[in-house]
Amino acid sequence: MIKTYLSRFINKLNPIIYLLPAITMIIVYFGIPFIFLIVTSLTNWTAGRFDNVEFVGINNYIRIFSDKEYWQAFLNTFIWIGAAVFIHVPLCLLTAIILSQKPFFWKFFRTVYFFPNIIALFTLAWMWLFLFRPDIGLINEILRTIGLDSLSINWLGTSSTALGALIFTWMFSVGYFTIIFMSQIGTIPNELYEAATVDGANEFKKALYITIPLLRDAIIIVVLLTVTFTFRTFETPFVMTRGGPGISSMILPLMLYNRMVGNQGAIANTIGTTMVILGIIIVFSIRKLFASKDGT
Amino acid sequence: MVHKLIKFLNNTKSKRKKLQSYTSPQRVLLIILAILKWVFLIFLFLFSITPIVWIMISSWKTNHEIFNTAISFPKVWQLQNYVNALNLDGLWSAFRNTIFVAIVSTGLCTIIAAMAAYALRSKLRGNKKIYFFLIIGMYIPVTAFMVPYVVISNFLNIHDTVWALILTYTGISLPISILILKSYMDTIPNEILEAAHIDGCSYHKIFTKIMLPLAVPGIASIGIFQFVAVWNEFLFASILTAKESARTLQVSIRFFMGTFQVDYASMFATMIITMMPAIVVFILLQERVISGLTSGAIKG
Repeated sequence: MIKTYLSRFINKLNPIIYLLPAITMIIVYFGIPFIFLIVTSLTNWTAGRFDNVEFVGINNYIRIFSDKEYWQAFLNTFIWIGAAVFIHVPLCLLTAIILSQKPFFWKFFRTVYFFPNIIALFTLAWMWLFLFRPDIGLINEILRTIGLDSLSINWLGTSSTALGALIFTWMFSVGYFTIIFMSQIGTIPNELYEAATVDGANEFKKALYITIPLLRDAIIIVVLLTVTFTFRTFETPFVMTRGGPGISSMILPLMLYNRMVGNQGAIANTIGTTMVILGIIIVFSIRKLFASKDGT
Repeated sequence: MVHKLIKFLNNTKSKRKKLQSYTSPQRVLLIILAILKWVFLIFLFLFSITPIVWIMISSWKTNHEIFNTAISFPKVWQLQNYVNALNLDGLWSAFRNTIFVAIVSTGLCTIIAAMAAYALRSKLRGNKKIYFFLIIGMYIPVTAFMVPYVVISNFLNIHDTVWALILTYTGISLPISILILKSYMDTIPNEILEAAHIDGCSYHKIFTKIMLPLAVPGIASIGIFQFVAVWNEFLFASILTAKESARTLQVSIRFFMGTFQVDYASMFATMIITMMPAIVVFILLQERVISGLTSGAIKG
């Protein structure tokens, strides 16, 4: 009797033991950091020792919300994410639809499109920095060669073009999401397209009325992934412009980093707190916006 | 080859026939669309290949040539740049560190995620809540956690060692790994596990003898995903480690930039050397990597 109870108890315990490492890691690397962010954002901690730390209320929030740099970074981060969601994702979808019709060399194209995704973002940013150099860079040299001298400006050193140039470096690296979309297009039964052909639909109509509606779930997931990936991006502006000229291409992660290395731990964590909350709000509003009836 | 050519000719013939069935304005439109399609594909191709090819060609030039003109081939192919790069202090230790960090954190991440995904199958109270708690981190911009991660690695007394990186990377990628593996394991029918249970397999035996072998494709997916991510990570590596014996490749590149100053040619050679392993592995294992990076991501 006691033995069966004991074995039943142990059986219940087994899953918990298996979950324990994962739960511990998530608590240490997501739970504690989040609480740490919120708590220190209410103090005057300087990223050093913890003695002499005073509680200052919402002073840090008032300070960053009245900081012009914060709002510039905020706006740029939104442009950054918006460009990814509204231009980058449709481009990937278009590429996937074209490549799914299997034009010549489609496998080759698929492989090459993936190259930028396999190289480290940090190295890639350095490469683009050299490509954009006004003196030795390839981009301006090409522009001069084809006679567009007026366009061969210092793209990264001009405040009105810096952010656009940064976005350009990842805008057309469609490889990863193209493959995700292609794998989903492959699951759409061919009969649908044949029926549409019989009814006289052209390629454009087929894409609009068959492919895109059936890819709905994939599109939502890709949009969510894009938002989190682009929100995390740090290397590109860090290497290429350092947020400059001035603050014109500053984004939130870079501003946080600058505050951190400037020994303003509390301010950095205040920015971090707003980032986490912003990220969660964006993700959940996307989920809400696109939520289907069956609750996916 | 001949077979392909015939197929191609037939294809174009049938396409031409199809074209003839359209009226002439429609035909013009179709041709314009076809041209646009190829312009688009070739533009994307150039966009993806140009940075690598340009840096690769420039890495064989002299610095004088680099400063002279951007569009040219090297007159004499300079092997010296690559010799300079390979002689760099710390390049090999950086390779070693990166491989070590990538392998260990990939291993840890897959094991922990597999255990969690397996445990989530059993009827546990609050199962859904635990699952939600484990994967919610996927949607958090982790760059916000820069400062806490430094503090945590200081607290665990592993700051400035490779273990700080290993644990941080494992923690960061656990949510997405658990999500991918859980959705993969959900496709494995419960009957198999029940049959094993009736035959007297213990909870642990079912995991090691049945679940793990069946979940190998899913595990490979997250393994590849994690390996590539760790190999290429820069931000956390740069804030969690500083000393040479703990540097990874990406962090070292930053220091090499300082070493070379204006010797751009050697710098380019270094970049090419550090990214070659990833590109070679990708080209060799292409199908595997592609299915690994995509199969799981979509099921969630």
